[in-house]
Amino acid sequence: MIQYFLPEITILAGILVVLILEIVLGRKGFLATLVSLLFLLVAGFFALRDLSLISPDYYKGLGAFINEHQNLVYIIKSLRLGVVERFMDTIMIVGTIYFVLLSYDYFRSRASGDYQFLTLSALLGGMLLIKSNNWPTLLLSLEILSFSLYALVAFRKDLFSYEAAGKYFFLGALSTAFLTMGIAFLYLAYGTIDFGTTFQRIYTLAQAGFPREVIILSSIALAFIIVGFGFKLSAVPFHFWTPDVFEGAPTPTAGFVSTVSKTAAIGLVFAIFQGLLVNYPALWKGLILWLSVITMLVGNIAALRENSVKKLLAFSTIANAGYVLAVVYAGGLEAVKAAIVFMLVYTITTFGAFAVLQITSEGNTHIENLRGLFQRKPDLAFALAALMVSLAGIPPFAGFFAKFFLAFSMVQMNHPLLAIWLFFNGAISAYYYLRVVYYAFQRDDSEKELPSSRIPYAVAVVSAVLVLLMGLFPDAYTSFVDKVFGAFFGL
Amino acid sequence: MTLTAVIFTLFALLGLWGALVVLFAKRPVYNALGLLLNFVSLAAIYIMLNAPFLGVIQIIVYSGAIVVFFLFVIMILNLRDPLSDMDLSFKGLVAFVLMISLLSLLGVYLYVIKLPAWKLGPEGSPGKLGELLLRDYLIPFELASILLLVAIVIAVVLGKKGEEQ
Repeated sequence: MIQYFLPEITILAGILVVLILEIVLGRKGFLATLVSLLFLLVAGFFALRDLSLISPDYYKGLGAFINEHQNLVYIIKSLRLGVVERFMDTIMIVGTIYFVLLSYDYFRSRASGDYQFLTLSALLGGMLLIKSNNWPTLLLSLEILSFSLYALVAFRKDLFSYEAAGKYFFLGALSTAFLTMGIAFLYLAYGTIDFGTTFQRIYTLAQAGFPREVIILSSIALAFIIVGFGFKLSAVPFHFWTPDVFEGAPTPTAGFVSTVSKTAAIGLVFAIFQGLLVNYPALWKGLILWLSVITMLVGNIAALRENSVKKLLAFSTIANAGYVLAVVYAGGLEAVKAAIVFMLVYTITTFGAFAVLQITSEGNTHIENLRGLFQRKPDLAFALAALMVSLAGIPPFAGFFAKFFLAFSMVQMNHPLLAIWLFFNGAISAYYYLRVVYYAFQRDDSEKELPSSRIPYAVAVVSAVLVLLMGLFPDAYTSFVDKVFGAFFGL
Repeated sequence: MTLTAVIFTLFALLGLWGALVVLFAKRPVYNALGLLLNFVSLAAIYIMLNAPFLGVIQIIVYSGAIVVFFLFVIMILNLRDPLSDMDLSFKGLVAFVLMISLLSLLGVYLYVIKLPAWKLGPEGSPGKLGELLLRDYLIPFELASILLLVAIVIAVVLGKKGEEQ
């Protein structure tokens, strides 16, 4: 049965190996980075292998194994396996590889094994979070992810970094408290902490008509749970921490929070709300809808007047969370596929943008600081332009297709207005993304030298080329997603 | 009023008093002791709810370890001066009133409605709890150990002085 959990086991082994290396050999930043990259690549390989092997019978072997070893049945009860989870894993591993590369350059001589330990433990928390099948697993893996993130935000060890980590920690702890309260009420309403049993009971009750007390209790529960998840997703009105934390966090960590941790949150929301909301009073589905509609608008409007590129990317994160939340509301298999493609493209594009930011604005993220980028490093300016245009959703870049798939799945599920709203917001966002490009192509007469950092340079250029290629040949990866989904559901 | 109800009311009021002391006492030591009172009365309520093991753990871990840790911090930092008065601004007042009304709404709802009669888990004896933790919820149990490992590493990383400073 071990072969079904190879990516998770690889990451867990990586955590321990990195920690032991640090203890035995002392601080060897380069070695630790290499080792954790190796483990990430192996885990990514296993995840892709899992996906390419998947067929309707793939997990039958697991079922047979469980039937033979009844005492082990409980291991599988806590973790859910499936094709969506594996895709989200792959995306998170890609994001973490970006993160390891960028942060090695960011910290240079201060790179260390404990940093890699925290990176891998954050990834493990995210991977288990989206697979959790009962509330204790969910809470604990959420805390593994969040704790690692708080420490990664504080890792620069100066006042700004500590301030950002402090804000993140207090608000994060508060949101977890809300989530726990919600779980307690849900337990009161349905009498179980397993997702499977909860969904079953909801289904049975929905057939007979919900009793009044269950409606009241689970409404209170969902209100608390939505507050908790809304914080992790940085959905409006729980988004206030995002710009502050991004501004103070080391640049690679800001990228990590806006991609990997968001992917985990999206995967989780998909798993929970698809199950919880299917047979639910329309009120709560409407709440998700309004949350996503407002999140898109507020994120984009706030970004319009923002002069710090890092905060601008924070608001872009908020807006993008809104887009995916809308697709959660729309529902359906196409929506899940679209969200997977969207998160992959978004991860590559956003990390590319953060790589450019890391080179151009050391210590000063003001947009004026981008002036003269074209003069000094024309290829970097073109890379930035490609990434920003892709984020704005303009063809022929990958961002356009990602957004197009989102809108297409909404139309398919009979929500054309939502698709129009999505493109309307995309049009607003084009203004601030293109404003960044405008500044990068301005002349600047001061004698400023850009630091020569090879890794972020290579990362930015490679991401830009990838975004262009993925935009020109969208079939290459969407057909893979289609194939895996088709094989898994036996279509 | 049955004896159980009397004992429950007693401990509930004690716990509430402790929580209010945590919020409103001016000297940090009193805050910590209020927390202790709250924890101990919670433990009593756990025991009344047929979860004796949880009650004992509550006393050992929370009252024994955590409050003592707080007291140590207060002692080492020598926090003798009373905290300054809480300034109740208009915003704070609005938030307070909203919170109180939300809580009372919740309380009234929970009092009025009949709780659904699901068959809940087994009683909280140590044996049953161990069986649950090490069999049904083995994965979360192991995750808790990973979480503790992460927390220890974070404490070491953040506690270490940066060489550059």
